[in-house]
Amino acid sequence: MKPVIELKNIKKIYNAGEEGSVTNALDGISLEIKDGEFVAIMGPSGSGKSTLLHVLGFLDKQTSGDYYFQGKNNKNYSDEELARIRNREIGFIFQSFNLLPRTKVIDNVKLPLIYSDIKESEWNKLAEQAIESVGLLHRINHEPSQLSGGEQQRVAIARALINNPKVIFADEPTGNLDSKSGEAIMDILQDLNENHKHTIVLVTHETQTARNAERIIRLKDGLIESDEKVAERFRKGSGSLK
Amino acid sequence: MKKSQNALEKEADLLNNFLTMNFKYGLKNSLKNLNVNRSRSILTILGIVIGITSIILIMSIGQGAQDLILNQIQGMGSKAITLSPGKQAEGFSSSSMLDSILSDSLKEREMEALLKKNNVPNVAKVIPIVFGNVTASYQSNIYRLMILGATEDVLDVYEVYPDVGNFFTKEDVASKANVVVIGSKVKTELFGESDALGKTIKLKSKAFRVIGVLPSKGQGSLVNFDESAFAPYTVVQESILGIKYFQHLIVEVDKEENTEQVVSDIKITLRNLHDITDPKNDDFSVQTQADLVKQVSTVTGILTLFLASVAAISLVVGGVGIMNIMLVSVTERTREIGLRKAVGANSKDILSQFLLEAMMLTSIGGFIGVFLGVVFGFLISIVLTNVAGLDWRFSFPVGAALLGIGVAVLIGLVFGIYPARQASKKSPIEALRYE
Repeated sequence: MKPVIELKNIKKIYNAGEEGSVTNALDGISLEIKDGEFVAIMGPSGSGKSTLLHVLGFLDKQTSGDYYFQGKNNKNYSDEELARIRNREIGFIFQSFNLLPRTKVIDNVKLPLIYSDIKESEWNKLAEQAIESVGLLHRINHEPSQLSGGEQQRVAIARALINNPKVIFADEPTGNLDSKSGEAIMDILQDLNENHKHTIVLVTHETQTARNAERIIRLKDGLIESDEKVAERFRKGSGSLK
Repeated sequence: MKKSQNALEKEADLLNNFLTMNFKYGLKNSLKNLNVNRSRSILTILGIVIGITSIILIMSIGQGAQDLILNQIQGMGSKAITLSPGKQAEGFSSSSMLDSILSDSLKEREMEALLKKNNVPNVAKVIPIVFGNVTASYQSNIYRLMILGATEDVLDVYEVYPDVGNFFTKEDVASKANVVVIGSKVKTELFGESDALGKTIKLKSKAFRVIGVLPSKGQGSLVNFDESAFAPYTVVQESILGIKYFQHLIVEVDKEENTEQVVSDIKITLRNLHDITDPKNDDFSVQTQADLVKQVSTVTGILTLFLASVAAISLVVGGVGIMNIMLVSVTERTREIGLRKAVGANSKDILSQFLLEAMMLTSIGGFIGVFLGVVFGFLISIVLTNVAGLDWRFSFPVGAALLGIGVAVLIGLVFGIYPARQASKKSPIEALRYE
């Protein structure tokens, strides 16, 4: 199967300060992620896992190296083209939900559609479908401040799903949630991966959470420390470990 | 793939994007965001409201004043041509005005020449005008009035028809009769409530019999007839002013279309009479109603424009306020900008969003300003009509209203572009990290 994501020697260097102190956030990462995979990226803070996710999610550009997304090198993409990919091809879930305040659930979920080519007449239908798939139809006209953390994150997932993206990137999606809500979120992500064939890339520092994935990539100091499949018997949701 | 674009293409792109962006959503979203900080939005647009209101008000009043003056000029009849002694005034130089006051180039001789059919064939009437300030007294009452000397034909030119008594006649002019027609204010000052007709008043210690009283015409006339008195020019020249010349000659044309012909006939006649070969040396000036209308329109137009530009300064101040608040808004909403970029908004989308918001803010201010300006203009017209007794006509200043809204939108564009650019330049990842 063709990889949906292919990185070749990706480096991200930050030049901070006037003396030119240089930080190598990513120090040459090469990896492949296949279509339909569920990958967790782990590592201590400062290991570069968030930077890697941002590069993968087209929120940030690598300093050097090649990034092939669906076989295409993104090196020379303009601001507009990057925005287009973020809009059509990928979905993002953040630790802090990032919902628009004082904005109804349905309008939050619709947000990506505003920047797409999809006709306005279809927006409501699509948004309702996405909200239904995370089980929040009864909250459709609520505002984020009226929802629990878990519910807010489910709205964010609905928003990430609305353009039916190839890949969903989740940056510590359970980090701000209690363990029960967190598990519910992970169940949804697992369902999206297994039953709806979305490729999922998850950044987390919790081993428990990472065990929902089928593959765990560990980073240290901007380099891949290990990259291994999760043995089926350890995977959560398969029932063998609990 | 567009790798390099020149600036022009970028502009066109921006406009295109602005139009294709979901406009309805943009408007709704802007309104919502402005509504979230309602009191802040209201205070911000106050500057624009005040600016636009004053501009509309000034333009409305300017238009009203101009209409009022022009109506009065045209009231004299478009067939009237005014001759004044002295050189044609160029602008408002003091020397030419002084020249006109001191010159005595228009006398009986000139009037007779103009009345000859072979000189100026299309003349209907020539009315001499002399005037000056003089002290009038009746018993112990003293009042300083303006005495106007003319022939009986002035009645129709100034539309001064007495409501008590009569105007003087041709015979009165010929016989240099000491008769006078007084304005309404003169009547009350000298006679109070008692009857004035037939009484004798003293003008410069000469006795004049009051034969008529004019109705009140109110303020706002070019000449305040209420504070004036009319007498035959012959007697005013001889007994009161002690002059032999005229301050004006009003020439009435038989038909309006002959005005230009008459003007050139008058010039030729007077130049021949005064042996003038070079028109630059003319010792008289000719002014048609059309000239006067043009001059007055220019003056009131300049005045209105000047006042409006003073008011426009407040718009600049208002615009800076808009820019300031938009910058605050951009900073406050950094995370929102980051999120929008993360879900697919490009820089132009963000630019449009904030620009639209600024323009929305100023155009709301513009609409309110136009509304208030029109309302105040209307109230002032009511006050001027009912209290000051002017024949003030309120007209809705359509041009000014469109201009006001246009300017408001433009201010949003000009002062909104910088904050909007700041917003659009934010990198998504830095914006999302912003606390």
